[in-house]
Amino acid sequence: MKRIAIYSMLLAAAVWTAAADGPRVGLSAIRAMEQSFDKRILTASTESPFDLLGTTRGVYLEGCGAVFTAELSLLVTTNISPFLQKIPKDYVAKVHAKKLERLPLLKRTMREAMLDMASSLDGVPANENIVLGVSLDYFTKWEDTTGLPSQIIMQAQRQKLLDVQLGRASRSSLDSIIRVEEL
Amino acid sequence: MIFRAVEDADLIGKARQGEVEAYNLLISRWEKRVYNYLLRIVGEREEALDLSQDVFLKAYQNLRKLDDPARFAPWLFRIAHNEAFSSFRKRRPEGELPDQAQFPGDEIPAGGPAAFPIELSIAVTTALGKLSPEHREAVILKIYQGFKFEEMAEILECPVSTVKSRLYTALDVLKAQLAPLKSRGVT
Amino acid sequence: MSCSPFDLRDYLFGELAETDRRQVDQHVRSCSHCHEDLERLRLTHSTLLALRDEEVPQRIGFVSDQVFEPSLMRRAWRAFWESSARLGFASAAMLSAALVIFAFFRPAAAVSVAVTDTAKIEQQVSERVTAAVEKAVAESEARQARKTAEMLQVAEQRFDEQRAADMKNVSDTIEVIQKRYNVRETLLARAMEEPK
Repeated sequence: MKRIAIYSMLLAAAVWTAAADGPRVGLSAIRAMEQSFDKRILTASTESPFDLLGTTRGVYLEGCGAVFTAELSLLVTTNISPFLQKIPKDYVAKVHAKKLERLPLLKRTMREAMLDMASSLDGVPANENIVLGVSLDYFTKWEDTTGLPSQIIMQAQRQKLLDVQLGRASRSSLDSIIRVEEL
Repeated sequence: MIFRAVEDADLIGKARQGEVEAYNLLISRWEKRVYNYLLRIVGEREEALDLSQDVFLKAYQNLRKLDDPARFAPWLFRIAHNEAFSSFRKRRPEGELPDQAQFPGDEIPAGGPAAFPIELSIAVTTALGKLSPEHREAVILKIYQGFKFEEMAEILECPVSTVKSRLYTALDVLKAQLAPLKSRGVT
Repeated sequence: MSCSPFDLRDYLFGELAETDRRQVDQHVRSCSHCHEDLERLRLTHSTLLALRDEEVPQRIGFVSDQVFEPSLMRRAWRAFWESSARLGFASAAMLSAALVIFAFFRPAAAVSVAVTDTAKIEQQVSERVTAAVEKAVAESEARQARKTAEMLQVAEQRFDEQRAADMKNVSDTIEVIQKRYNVRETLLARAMEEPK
């Protein structure tokens, strides 16, 4: 009986250790958030959708939090080719203005996604971060990228996002909670 | 590099004679390196900028004490090292240096050229942040600043064996943290 | 625990003498454990380098401090000595010296020789003129040929550059199309995986 008890304890310890060594944030949870952000990007605007050029990739980094990255262009545009050697100036100006106009929509979409991620990713400790980065593509040969970032990275502590999501803090505090870096 | 070293010596000579513009040109060559060194030690951009300004001010005031202009780099980083660790001492009670990095939870510098994956730079910053300031500094001076071990010993005022020991210990810790990223497809 | 004859970290940082490096090279070829260890060190090193330097958010500079500036005389002298006025002054000084020396050491006038045979003179002149004209024509033709060759070279270079630019633009467009295609494929695969 004593031997059985010892073996049970050892087995329990082994199982517990294995569980502790396994990933804190499950792959399925990460995948779900990847797909969720892709869907948000693709449906953010029906009139002229964002051009998703790289589906969202997510990874959990211990000590840091969950990091998601995607790649897109703010607009579907044409490019220089042997058949179109020069892009008309008014088209360049039009594309630039349109992209500037769509930036706030992208940032809103990203903020909403972060709130969703904070509430869905239970495995991420409350004091770790949710990080969402989007790389923006441009045809640098002809596009005017003045005022347009090449990367937008948003990060916030999961607990603070949860507070907003659960109504413990107002949505207006999102601006101070989420740190935005534009490169 | 040799051409540049000669030009630096020339600028140092002129700065010693009071030519502030020559010194400003010297600063423009070194500020990015010093700023990034300090940023990776202290973890905050504003503080790194303040410290950088202090470093260059102190360097200007003590330029006459630099015996060999060819040793400008380790001499400058010696000043930067002192400023960084003085800053740490001001944050904490006297004699007590932090055991672990003190990157604020929501201040992980994630910046970098768009060509590099965001998650990679965040992973590296987090891993570096887990090292003690002394170990992190050894990594920064060797891998990011490219100093030789002898130069690092001069900057840190400790034997080469100590410098190597700190770097190699840090590398073993980083290896354990960063190498598994490959299996997750991050690298 | 590494069985390498020397520390792999010393090897990574180039701290080993050539003979010692070769020993390590030989060892890692046959020892899979050390080979993997070295690869992990290299991977860690290259991963660390993924963190690039940031730009300084604000330029650092000092305003001129009167205490450290040299005296007015010294500044004026330095401004003159390093300016283009110095070059003009030096040139003028050299020209003046040359004029003075020439005035003191003027050479004797040349003495001309009288020629009596007019026909011989005319023939010689005609031959010289013909030779000179032929030479001038040959030089002109050579210059023209050189110019044409240069123009052809420039045109070829421009054509190559235009072609390279066209290829780059096409390549950029194809890259975007490829990315869109990959996204569609991924989304389609996900849709098929979803339980019905």
